[in-house]
Amino acid sequence: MALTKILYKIFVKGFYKVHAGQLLFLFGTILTYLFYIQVLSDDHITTQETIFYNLSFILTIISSPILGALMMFVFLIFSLKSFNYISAQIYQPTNFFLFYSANSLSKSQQLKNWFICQILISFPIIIYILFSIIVGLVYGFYLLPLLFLVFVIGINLLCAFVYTNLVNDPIKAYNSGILVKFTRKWKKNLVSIPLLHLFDKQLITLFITKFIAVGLPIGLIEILSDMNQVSLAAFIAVIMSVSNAVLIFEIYRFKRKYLSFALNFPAKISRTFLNWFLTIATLLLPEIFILKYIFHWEAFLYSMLILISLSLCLKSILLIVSENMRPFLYTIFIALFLSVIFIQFGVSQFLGFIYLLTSYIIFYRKYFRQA
Amino acid sequence: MQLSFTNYRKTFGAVEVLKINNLYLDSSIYWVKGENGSGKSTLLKSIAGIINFEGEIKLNDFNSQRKTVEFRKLVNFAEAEPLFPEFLTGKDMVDLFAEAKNASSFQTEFYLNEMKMQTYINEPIGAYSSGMLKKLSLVLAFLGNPQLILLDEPLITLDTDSLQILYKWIEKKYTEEGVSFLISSHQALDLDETLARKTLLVENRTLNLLEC
Repeated sequence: MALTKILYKIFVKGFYKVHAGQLLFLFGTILTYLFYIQVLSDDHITTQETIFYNLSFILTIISSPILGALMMFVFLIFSLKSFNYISAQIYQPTNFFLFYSANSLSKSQQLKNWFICQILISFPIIIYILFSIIVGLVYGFYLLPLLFLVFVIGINLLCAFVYTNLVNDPIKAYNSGILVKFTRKWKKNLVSIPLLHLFDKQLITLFITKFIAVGLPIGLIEILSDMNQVSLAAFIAVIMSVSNAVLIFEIYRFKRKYLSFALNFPAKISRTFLNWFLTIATLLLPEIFILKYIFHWEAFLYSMLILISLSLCLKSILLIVSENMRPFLYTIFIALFLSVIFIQFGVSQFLGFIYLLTSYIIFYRKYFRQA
Repeated sequence: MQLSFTNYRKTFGAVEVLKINNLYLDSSIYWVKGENGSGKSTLLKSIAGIINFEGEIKLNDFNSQRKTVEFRKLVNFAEAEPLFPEFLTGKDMVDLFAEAKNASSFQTEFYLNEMKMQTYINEPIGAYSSGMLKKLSLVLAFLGNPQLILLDEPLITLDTDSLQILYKWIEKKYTEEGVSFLISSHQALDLDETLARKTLLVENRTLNLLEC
């Protein structure tokens, strides 16, 4: 059990700490959505009908093979993400002790410990599956929920098996990703290095974030089609920017850890801010293309400015709150709230400029005064 | 070189780790002594401009937090345990520093050759040993035209040949270009006896210049 405790402290807690932003955003969005629906449906849907519709929703998932497959895809992405995190963390110098301690246990004991660790990470999924099994048993749709359970246990067992093998193999020399190998001959600078880090170490996070940042707003366009173009574009840009918060946080963490030497470079503050701007603008290129594709020029230009400047503002806020996720999350929700108010009052044209100015002021005052 | 501290104070949360009311240092090679956790690295990082502090640090009248560009042109720094992105090569780091610190290609080649780093300079840093990484960080600290070089524990993890090369660089920089050094170390510096050397003691949360 001693190993289970250690694995729990390092990997399970670490996973939830690092991904708290993404998870909170996801649950925050779902909760906001539920409250929103509640207000609209007060006069039209009775409590009994609400329960009926909710049950119908779960029953549809556990009775429809297509939706069931979709749920399994979501479970797979979650498991891949945790696998990506743990397999990278195992090779962190601080965890090297596992290579000369954990592997003195028998293989079956190691496998059991890693399996428990992986199951604990998958806890939200397990809870969901248990809930769907109960509903399934009551209504006679137990095949898909049981299949979910077998699927998740199978994946977790496979992950545990790979972790066990990793810890029992000698530590391998550093092996970079394909993009990093491809760009080896390119000249690197402070704009491109943080982005290459995302491709090297945070590839799955990057893809999931981009999927959310692009997919969620496209879904919202259908619901909010009665808003005027500029306001709608502004709202979409805010959602896109907030969706990228986890990547912005990761870039900041990486720079503090690996690029703190740059604070000793004799670069003008305006030049350094321009570097930040270019890094963020490059990171947001997929979203910028989507905005251009959806909206006309005026709405596109305003929304692009909001997208970049709000993201820059979130990055500047990190100069104040440092690597503390909680105040950063509060800031994100405050920014979201303020943005919605500005958009509601029809002054979204100024939003981008306000965020850009705020971002520069914070940057100017705090960049050379980081803790 | 004129380095001065005025009402310098560094805290971590509510804990005060270092306080220097007034101190003036002129050109020399300074051995920064002190126990583990006494604040040597904090002192060097503050001078390098990497961490925030209260008060003022000036080099030749350039305030580190106001005249940021001028100050940083004159100060170079090598960390005790350098951390660089694993996917970059040593050459990437050298190019980055050479551009930022305005170093010539002749200068970079000279230092890399002296430390015999050419065989692995194009390899990713993730594949470097701690000694190779240390040598890289020391080369980076000598690039450009600094007037003050801060070396945090430069003697650890270096092999004896590389150590002799480092001493040679320090002596040459000081005698030929007048570059000053602040070198933190637990062991005495094995430098030429004729060179002007002074000792700084970090103790009781402050810094004192010891009389030689």
